[in-house]
Amino acid sequence: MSSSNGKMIRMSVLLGVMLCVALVAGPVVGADPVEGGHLMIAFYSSIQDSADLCKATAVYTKMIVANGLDTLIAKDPATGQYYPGLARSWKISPDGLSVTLVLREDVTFHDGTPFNAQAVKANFDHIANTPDCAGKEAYSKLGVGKSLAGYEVLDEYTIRITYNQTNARMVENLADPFVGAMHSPAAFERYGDDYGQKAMVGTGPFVFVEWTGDQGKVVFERNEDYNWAPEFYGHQGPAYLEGFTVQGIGDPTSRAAAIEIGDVDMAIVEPTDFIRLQDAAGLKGWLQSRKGWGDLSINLSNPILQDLRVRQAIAHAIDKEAINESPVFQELGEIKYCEFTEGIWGSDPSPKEEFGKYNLDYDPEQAMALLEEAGWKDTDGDGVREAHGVEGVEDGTKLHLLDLVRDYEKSSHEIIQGMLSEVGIKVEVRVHDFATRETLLFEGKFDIAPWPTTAQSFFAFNEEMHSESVPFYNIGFYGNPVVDALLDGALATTDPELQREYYRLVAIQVLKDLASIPTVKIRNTWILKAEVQGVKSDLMSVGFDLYDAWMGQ
Amino acid sequence: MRFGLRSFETSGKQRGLWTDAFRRYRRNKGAMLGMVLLLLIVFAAIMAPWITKYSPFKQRIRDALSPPSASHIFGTDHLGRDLFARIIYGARTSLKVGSIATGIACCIGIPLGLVSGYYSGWLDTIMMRLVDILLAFPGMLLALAIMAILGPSLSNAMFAAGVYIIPDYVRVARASTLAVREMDYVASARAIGCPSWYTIQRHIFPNVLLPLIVLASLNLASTILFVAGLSFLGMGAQPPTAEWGIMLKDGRLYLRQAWWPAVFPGLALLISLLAINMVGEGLRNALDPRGLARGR
Repeated sequence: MSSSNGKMIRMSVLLGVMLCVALVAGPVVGADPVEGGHLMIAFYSSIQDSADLCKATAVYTKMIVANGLDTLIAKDPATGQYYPGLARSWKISPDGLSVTLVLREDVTFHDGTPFNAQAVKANFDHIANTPDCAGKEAYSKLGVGKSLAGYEVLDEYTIRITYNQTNARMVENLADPFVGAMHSPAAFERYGDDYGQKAMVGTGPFVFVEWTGDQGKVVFERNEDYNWAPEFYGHQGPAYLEGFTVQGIGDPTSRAAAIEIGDVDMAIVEPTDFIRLQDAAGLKGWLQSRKGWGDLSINLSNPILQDLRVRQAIAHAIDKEAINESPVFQELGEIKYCEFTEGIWGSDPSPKEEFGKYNLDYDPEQAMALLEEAGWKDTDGDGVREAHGVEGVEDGTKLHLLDLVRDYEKSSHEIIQGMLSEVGIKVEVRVHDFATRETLLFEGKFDIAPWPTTAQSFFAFNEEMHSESVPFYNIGFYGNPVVDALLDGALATTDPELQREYYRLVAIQVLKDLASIPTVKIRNTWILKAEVQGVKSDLMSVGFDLYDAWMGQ
Repeated sequence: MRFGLRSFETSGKQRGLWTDAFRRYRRNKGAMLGMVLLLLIVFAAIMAPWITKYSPFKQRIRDALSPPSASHIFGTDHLGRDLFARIIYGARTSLKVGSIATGIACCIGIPLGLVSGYYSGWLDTIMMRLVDILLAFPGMLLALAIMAILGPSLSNAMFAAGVYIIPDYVRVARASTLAVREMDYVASARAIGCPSWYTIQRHIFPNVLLPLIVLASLNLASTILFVAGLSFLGMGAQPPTAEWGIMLKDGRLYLRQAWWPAVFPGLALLISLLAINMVGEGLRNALDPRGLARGR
């Protein structure tokens, strides 16, 4: 009896210990993916403008919708390598003027219609001919009205795209969801102008179900027929998740609360919440460095800001290190030394090593001296400088700048507002929603504004800094013939080293011209439940690619 | 002529209405406490530059979120600004907001209510239907619609708050006018040929004033809260304005890290609203015992 009791006790203790270990350890890292689960995500917004990407401008829209789409050519965000996507292969002509795509024959859209060369043509026609798409990113990247000479269907599964000048960017564009992602032509016809609002029909691993607005939700379900994933993914066949929902929650406290109490499985939070929650029980942090460029954009159509000395004064007045050390960034931001983020430029040499010498140091005294020299003096003692003999500006005009920001940029721009006030520049920080702000920026109704654009490579620089891109997306009305020539040169060569050199020279020239001032780039601070695995960065590192994602038990 | 402004005691000793009201007010301990608090807030708002050596706008990023101490008695906010300075300068903003918004509502609502009540008929019907339409809109929705058209700013928020409470003044002024216009002294004024505008201005307006004063005192608090709410939503005061609503909004982001940037503006708002409401209630009891001045 006693021996039996002892055995029972030992067994009980052993089981108890095993249970405790299991509870403490949580899901086993490296365990095999399991199917099932609907991933709930709290993000700044759901789709912001339109799921029809040729009408969209918001990068978050592109990132979310891309989970329901496939691109003609696939690009591995981790390595930058290109892989077959909806096109089995592609061939660039020796003169670099055309690309011929041979398409997969086993792909169907979510509505059951087949994917073929006619569908690709219909997508390009949609971008080129839909009035709401004109001038937007898809339109520009396809080269409509500029470098695009045409596209022709060679047979059911072959299509050729021709340009009238060498376009080094053609492969990247075909890997970009704005241009390269294929939508169902039948859905274009069925939904008409409502396409992108009520429906989005692609070929990707997730099927669009519903969208209830910017601060509402967008729901996707698994595409059970999906079997054409690019080979760089971790698996083939349908996605592991049954679906996912992105809930737009503009309020950062609510997003943090949502992940804390378990309402959602992952949430983008403020740096202060990231610090607090990344080591909390059952949660983990994911710090995502965005790829892109751009920063504090300057409106050069404003005569006040056309004076280089004023722009230099602004740059001298901004203490980037202090901004990053503030509670707003919690030292989690990326201090910028050029237009490119490290994700675009690389780390050897780092942007600081390569471009640091072209940056103006934090030096308020020098800033004030430059403003005095430029004719901006504070004679009435109210702390704000006035114009005295400034060319193109009426005497007595206050040095008052309008800064248009989104709500989540308010705090960081209040810091800049405080720094500029120290040297006698009054900045009015005005908060607008996404759409209103974008309209005002494109109309040039601002003086300075955060314009941190996301991109997957250097090429996006052409859209943002070329004088032909005013005001989409060159909002600052910047134009420099030297920069234009360098940007054109970069697109005209297929030599990656030469391209990089062109863009290095462009970045240096933009720093010298101070068309935009590098400050601090926010990193995405995600908190996930510990059981959420396999979430990858999208192409621009602004969000998530959920094809390989799964939820442990 | 000012029958409505006189009262008589049974002893036969005549006292003015204001004297009576003051006596009633003084007997109300809550109202007196409210008055003391309100005077302190007004004093702090006026004397702000002499009370604190700190600017409410000066940032010291590396001192951000410093806890309350001898040098910063309320601590500092997320940009290293002295919270005590921002709170007392914020009192200026809030009192200004409340006064101007209430002033806008009074200036528009009272004349409309007087005219509507005096003339009655189709004019009254049209005005009341317009007021009904305004009342049908939820206040915040109406304000957000106004802000969407005019853009976010403190002055637009004050205007929106003023528009929101206009119906209160129209209705109270009209109700009082309907009663007063039947008085003998108004009939006499008409009989001797006084023009309507003169009768309204000279005989009706002074006699409908008391409930409106009470209403204004109560609305002062509600408009402060309303505009603080708009600022909290990013539609009111814009940075770097020292305003309690925007301070609450900024502070709550760091609540887990530092309690003081959210708690002190919240307390300031609470104490001010409490004080103004206590004064308002006291005024109502003292001036308007019949309770004509009822807000929504």
